Amino acid sequence: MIMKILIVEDDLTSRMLLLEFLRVYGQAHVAINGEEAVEAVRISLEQEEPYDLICLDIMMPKVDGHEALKRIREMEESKGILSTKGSKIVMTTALGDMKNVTESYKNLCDGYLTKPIDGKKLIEELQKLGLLE
Amino acid sequence: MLDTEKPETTSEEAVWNYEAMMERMLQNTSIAETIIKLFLKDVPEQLQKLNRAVENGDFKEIRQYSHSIKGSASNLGGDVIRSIAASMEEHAMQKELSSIKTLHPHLLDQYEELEKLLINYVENLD
Repeated sequence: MIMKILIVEDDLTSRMLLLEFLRVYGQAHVAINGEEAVEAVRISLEQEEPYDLICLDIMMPKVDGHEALKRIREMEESKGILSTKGSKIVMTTALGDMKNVTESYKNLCDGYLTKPIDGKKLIEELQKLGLLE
Repeated sequence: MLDTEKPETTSEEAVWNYEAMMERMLQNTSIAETIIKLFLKDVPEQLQKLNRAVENGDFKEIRQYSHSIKGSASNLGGDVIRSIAASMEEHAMQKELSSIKTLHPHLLDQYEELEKLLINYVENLD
């Protein structure tokens, strides 16, 4: 399957690393903060071409990953898309920062990926979500 | 699944853990080259912003830039810088400027060490 992917990372090396790994699987867009991410998702829903996968960094300036996650799911809901049918959203965060992950957001996303970005773990996560064979 | 108890620093950290980086990058030297070149361009800019934030005692910005440097360094296997930046981020959250000012020169020194290794690596690529 050719995926439509959104990579949301404020840190340049993480953003480019994810892009390098994911671009072979489809069309990848990038956003550098939560505000841009929400806007990209809004456009994708209006065009009825939603993202299959969103990699969403938690700690970003302006709108952070948790807030963006909440708004994305709200937008999907307003379009009548059930959360189980929505974009697969994988939150990314530094291993040491997992302690800051708020319990209440866990049921809104599909998985977590710890940084540093690891190609093997990323691919395994996509397989787990059924996005890759 | 996650070992959140793992300490932020250990005494055996490498200035540049090349093997670990290559493993995460699936032994793809072209990806490594791209990311290293981006790092060499981006991190000095982040360090400048961090310098200004430390001078101004702006904890929000210190946290933001040290977080960003931490992330970039971790992707490259720059373990020493990663852990210094992580400590600075932690101290920024606690609003501890004196600890930040103690760590800051070490961060700059260690960046220079890592930069030398990375420039040498890039220059020796085919």
